[in-house]
Amino acid sequence: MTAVLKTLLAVALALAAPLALAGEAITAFQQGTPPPPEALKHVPVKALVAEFLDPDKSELGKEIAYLVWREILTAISDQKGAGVIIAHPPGKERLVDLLQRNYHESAIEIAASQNARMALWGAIGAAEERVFVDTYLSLVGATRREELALRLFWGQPGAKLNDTGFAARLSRTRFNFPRVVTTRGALFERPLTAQGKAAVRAQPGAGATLATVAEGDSLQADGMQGSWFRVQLPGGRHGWVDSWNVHLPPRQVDARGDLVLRDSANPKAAAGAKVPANARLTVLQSRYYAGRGLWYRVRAPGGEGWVAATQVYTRFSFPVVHFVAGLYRYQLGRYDDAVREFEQYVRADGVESDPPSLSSAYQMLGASLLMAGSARGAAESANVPQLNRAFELAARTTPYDPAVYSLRAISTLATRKSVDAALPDVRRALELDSDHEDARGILARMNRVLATPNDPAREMIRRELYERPKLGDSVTELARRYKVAP
Amino acid sequence: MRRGLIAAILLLAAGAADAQTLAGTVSSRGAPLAGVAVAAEADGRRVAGATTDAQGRFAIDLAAAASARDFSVAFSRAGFRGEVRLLDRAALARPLRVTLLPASGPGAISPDDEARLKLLVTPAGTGPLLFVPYSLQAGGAAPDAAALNERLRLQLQRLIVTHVQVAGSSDSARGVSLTQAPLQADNDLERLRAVGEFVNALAVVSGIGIGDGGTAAPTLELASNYVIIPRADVFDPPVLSIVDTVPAQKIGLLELDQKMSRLWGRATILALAARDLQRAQSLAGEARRAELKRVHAYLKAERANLGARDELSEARLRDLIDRLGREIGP
Repeated sequence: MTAVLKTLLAVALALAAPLALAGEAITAFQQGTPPPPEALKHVPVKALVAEFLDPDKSELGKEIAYLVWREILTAISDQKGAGVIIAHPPGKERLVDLLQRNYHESAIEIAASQNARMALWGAIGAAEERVFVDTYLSLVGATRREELALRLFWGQPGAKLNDTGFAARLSRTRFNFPRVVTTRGALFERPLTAQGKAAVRAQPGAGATLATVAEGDSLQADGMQGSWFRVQLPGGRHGWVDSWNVHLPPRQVDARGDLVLRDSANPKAAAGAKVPANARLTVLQSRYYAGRGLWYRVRAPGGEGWVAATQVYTRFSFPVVHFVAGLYRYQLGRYDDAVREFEQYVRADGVESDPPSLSSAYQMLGASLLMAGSARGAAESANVPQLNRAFELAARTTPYDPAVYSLRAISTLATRKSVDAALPDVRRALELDSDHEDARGILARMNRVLATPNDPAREMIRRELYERPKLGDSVTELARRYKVAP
Repeated sequence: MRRGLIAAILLLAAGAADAQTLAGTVSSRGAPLAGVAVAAEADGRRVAGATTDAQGRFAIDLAAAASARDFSVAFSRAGFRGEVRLLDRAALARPLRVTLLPASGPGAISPDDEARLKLLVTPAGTGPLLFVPYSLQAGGAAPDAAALNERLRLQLQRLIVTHVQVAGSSDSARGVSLTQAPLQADNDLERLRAVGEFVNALAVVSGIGIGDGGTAAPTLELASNYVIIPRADVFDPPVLSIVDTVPAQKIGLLELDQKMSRLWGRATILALAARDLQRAQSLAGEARRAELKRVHAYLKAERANLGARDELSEARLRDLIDRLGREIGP
């Protein structure tokens, strides 16, 4: 009879909505007028993308918002119960005027009115060919407290799990991501995949139909205006296609390991070119297949072929797309996928220039690894070396953040079932902030577990209690120093 | 130690210059100031010090910190407000001219300024961040000063407010905006302070850019100042200055506000703390304690966001956090 430890989400999420793909638009917010009716009402986890601020009048505010919206949609296209809303004002009016005044606060207000959990927005600057993009993410209050918490449960396999009372939370709800410096070409010259039958028109939003594309057809874009992509047509002509009608694959992907390209989007299809680990591949097309998931057709030095999305690291235009996709996966209980997204965020270029967002990504990576192990049966089955490295890098990135140490203490309790091993992180958190709620909670709980002979959580640390009879002394001493009542 | 706190280290690319001595002059109200203590810090520790002579001159030997890329140099004298300059190694080649403000005394502003600023006056404790447009004397490559100042104001506002909102001090951040003052001050700190006090500002942000258009690659030396206006018992907010040399054609670009944003964001947290602590002085008992705790919480949130390379900011912030912790008591 061994006790099996399990970490669970504090709040179970309804995964009922059978929606594979969910993108929707809402129209304006103006002060003094009621917000429009809620979009994507039946989708449990929603994000909202707002038009980007454009103080330099680069005229890219709408385009970048649409681009981010479609990239997120592509990133989560295999995820049930996830949706993303683009908030765009009608005509020439500017939603950005609201964001211009109160930034994160306004973004949260807009997201909350749509029942969305995340609001993504930003600002753009332009100088000649270069484009600078600042991206921001605001999480609606309840998201952090209820869903981005790690709460430790334990129990026998197959039996009802007990709440140990040990919990810690991610510390931030607002993120200012590092500036991305890019070019118009790098943003808009990209492959598109038609999503259903669509018209290619002579002008953005209007004009004669020059061509018609069908589901899965590939297009090559070279520019954007509003929500419309300029695409190349045979014979050197150009036309315009609405971003509503296309998927936006990443422009590039990196091989996760040595892999073999396939002749079609099927793991059993004939083998083509071999690709070494970390090779950068140019994406020509992407398609989602029920049962087989997302596949990319790519160009490698040795030839063209298909590769499953799970075999590559995608590289979206903005690292924030990976961060948001990771939060979706985590909130919907798809922890292995969340791990992949946060891994991709932390290896993106330039993310180290904003320590708080990078540290949060490492914390979410660690939490996702723990939850992935837990989802396989027990937290102990997590990838422990990778887990420890994620929390170590979080601590190195923001060494003065007590939340990192509280989270790591929970992780240590879950994987090592040892109060003694978790205690130094609780101490460090309290040294940084003697009022830190999670660290105080963990210490109080440790103290109570050790002092109460029939506390149900004692079973979890049974071996340690047997091997270290004096364990309680160091806990009591720390609790006394920080005036934590047992 | 009431020398004041600085909020950040500015990390600039190390220049090729191998200057080992920093020399300069200190003055106040147009006259040289003797007896000013000058102390240099690098990598979080004190490396050298000196005192100004009768002509306000000083020279400090920085050979002890030969490997440091950045220095923080603090100037202090009883009766004057301390000032801290953040310098990269390349800046050592130029003589430093520092103006100290009297700690008290007449803060009068001219009748002209008074007329210009009348509409901006706010009740104490509610004022905006005041943006006094940069004076730009670009030799050769003259940028459009009005357009540049407007975009700098808008960008800095966004970067400052989003920084403050991430540190979780939204209550205090509400209403923080960067309001343009219709005047020029040419980095005259005494005037900037007098203007800030007149309108009850949270802080005054301004600067001066002097161009060197004589070379093939024209550059602009930008000196920026952040003057915190409210004063609190618990700490003496400093004047923050950064000096930066940028290629003249980059002056209109976003690199500029990016460089200043983190420093100014952190400075704004200190300004908010100074204001909130000042308000707390007028409260008593539990109300006072609650206000102190609120300030304590957002200062701790700000510290939690510091990176591994921010040791200097951390040490100064920790000092303030500890002092407030003692004030709050158990």
